Amino acid sequence: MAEEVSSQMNSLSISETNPSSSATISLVSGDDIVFKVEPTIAKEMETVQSFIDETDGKITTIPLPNISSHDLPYVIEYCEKSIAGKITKEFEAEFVKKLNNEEVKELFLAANYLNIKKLLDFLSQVIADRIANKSVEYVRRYFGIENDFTPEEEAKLREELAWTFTGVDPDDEDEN
Amino acid sequence: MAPKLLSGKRQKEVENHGGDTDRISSLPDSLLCHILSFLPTKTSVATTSLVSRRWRHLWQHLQVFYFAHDSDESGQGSKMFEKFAFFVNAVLAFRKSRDIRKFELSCDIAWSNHRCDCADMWTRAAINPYLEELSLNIRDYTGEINLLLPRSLLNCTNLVSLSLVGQIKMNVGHFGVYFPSLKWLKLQAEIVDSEIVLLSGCPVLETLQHNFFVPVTWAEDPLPPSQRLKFTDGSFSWTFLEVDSFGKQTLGIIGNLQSMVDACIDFFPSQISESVDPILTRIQGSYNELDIQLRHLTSKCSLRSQILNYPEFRNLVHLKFILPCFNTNLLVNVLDKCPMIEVLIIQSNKEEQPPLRTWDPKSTTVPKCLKSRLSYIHIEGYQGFEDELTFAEYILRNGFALKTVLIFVDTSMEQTNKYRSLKRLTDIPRRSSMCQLKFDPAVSS
Repeated sequence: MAEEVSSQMNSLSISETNPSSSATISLVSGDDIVFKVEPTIAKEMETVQSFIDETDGKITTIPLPNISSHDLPYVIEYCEKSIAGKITKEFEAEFVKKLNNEEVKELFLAANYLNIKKLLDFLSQVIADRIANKSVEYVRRYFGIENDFTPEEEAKLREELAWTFTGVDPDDEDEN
Repeated sequence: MAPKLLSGKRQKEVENHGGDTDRISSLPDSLLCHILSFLPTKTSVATTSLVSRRWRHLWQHLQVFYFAHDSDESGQGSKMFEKFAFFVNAVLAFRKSRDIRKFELSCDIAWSNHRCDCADMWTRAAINPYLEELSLNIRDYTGEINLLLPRSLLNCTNLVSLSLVGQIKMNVGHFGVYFPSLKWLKLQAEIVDSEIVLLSGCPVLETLQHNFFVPVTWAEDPLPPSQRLKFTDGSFSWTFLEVDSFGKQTLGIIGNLQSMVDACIDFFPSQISESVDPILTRIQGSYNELDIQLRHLTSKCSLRSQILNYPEFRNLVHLKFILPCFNTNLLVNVLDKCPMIEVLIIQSNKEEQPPLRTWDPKSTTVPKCLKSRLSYIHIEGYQGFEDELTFAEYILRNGFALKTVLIFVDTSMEQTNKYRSLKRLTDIPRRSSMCQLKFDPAVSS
C-alpha cells in the first residue's frame, strides 16, 4: 500500500527527462510472459503508448491481459516491419500464410485492443478475403455466430435478396 | 487510481473457441463494419446481412463501396446491367450513412439503356467532402460514349487516391483544380484535358501511374504501358517539358525527382517525326541510382525553343547528357537546374546540324553547381564549333571546383581547327587552380 502511494507521488512530481526514451518496454501477455521491446515498437501500439504517456514514462512494464503469448510475437513482428518500412505484399503474404482462421481473429482483436491501425486494416482485409464469395453458413461458422432468424424469416429474407444472388464458392473445410 | 490496464488480469483461454466467439460478437458495430468495408459491396449486402439479426442492417452503415459489373457475361449484357444498376441504386438509396469515404465503380456503360446516365449519377452520389478514395473504370465496348466527370469532384479536397481508367473525360483546364491531399493518382491517357493543370494542383502527390501515349512504331523498344514514379521525399514539385506540335500541347512528366542522384538524359531524336510525346521511358533502380531516359521526338523545334523547362534535380550529382547536336543553351539550362551536380558527361552525336551561335555567356548568372560542385566534365564528340568552344571557355572561366576537363575530339575535326580550339582554351584564365584540361586525350596521351 505504502509503495503504491509513493509511486503515485512520483508520478505527480514533474520529471524533466523522459525515462522511456531509452529504456526498453516490457509487455506482459495475458499468460504472464514478458516481452521486451524497443520504445519505438511501443509507439506503434497506441494503447501502450498512451499508457506510457499517461504515467510520464515512469512505468515501463505493461500488462496486456487480453493478448496471449502466442499472439503477441506476431504483433511485435508486424510492428517491427512497419517501423522499418518493410511491409511489402510479399511480407504480408508470408505473414498471413502462417495463420489459421482462429489466429487471424485473435490478432484482429489484439490489433483492435492495441489500436494499431495498419495491422487492423491488414487483418480486416485478410478476414474479408477469407469470407468473400462464401455462403451465409460459412460466414456464420467463421465468426461463430448463431443464426437467430427463424427458418421462415430466413427464407423470406433470402427471397428478398434473390436479385443479388449469383452463386457462391463451395465451402472449404474449416482449417481448425 | 490505478490505471485501467493494471486491473483485472485475465487469463485468456486460447483453447476455448466459444470464448473467442463471444469476443467477436462483443465488438462494436463500427468494427464489424470495418471488416465489411473490405468486402465487395455485393457480399456485404447479399451474404453477411443474412448471418444474424445483428448483422442484418450492418451494411447500411458502410462508408466504403465496391461495385463491379462484368460485362462479358454471355448474351445477356443488357439484362445483367439492369440487375447491376438496380442493385447499385438500391444500395445507394438504402444506406444510412450519407458520407462515402471510398468508392470503386467498374462497369461497361454500353449495356445501359441510358448510357452514361447511371455512371454519372453514381459518381455524383459518391462525391462528397469526405471522399478519400475514388476509383472509376468505365468501359464502353462501342467506344462512343464518355463519362464526363462532374465539376463537383474538384471540391473533394480530402481525396487521397484517385484512379481514372477507361471512357472518362475530366475537364480541369478552365476551372482550376486543387487536391491538397492527393497522394496516389492513376490516370489513363487522354482523360484529362490538361494534365499540367491537374498535376500542378496536387502538391503532395507521391505515386503516379500514367499510361503515356505510346507511339506504335516503336516496336523494337516497346515501352511498358504505365510508369510508376515513386518518391520518398515529401517535398514535391512538378516540372514539365512542353512541346508544341500539330497545334496540340503534350507533355512529358518528370517531377519530384529530388532524391535522385544519378541520371542519364537521352535526348535523341527519333526517326518518327510525327510522334509528339516526350516520354519518360524508363525509371528503374532504387532510390539512389536511377537511370532516366528522356525521349524527345520533336527535338528540332524544341531545341531551339525557349520554352524548354528542365526539371529541377536537386540531388543529382552525376549526369550524362546525350544530345543530337551540341547545344549550349540547353546545357546551361540543365546546369541551372542541377545545383548539386559534380560529374557531367556530354555526348553530342552528329545527328543534326548544330544551331549557329545561339548563346552568349553572361558572367553574372553562373549556375550554382559551377560555383561549388562541378569537378568533372567530359565532352565527347567535340567538333570545334563556336558554340562548343564558348561553352568550354565558359566552364573553365567559371568553374570554381573544377578538377578535370576532358574533351574528346570528333574524328572529323581537322588538325588546324584542333590547334585553334586548344590555343583558345589554354589561354583562358581558369577559375580553379586545380583544374586540368585534357584536350583530345585519346591522341595526346
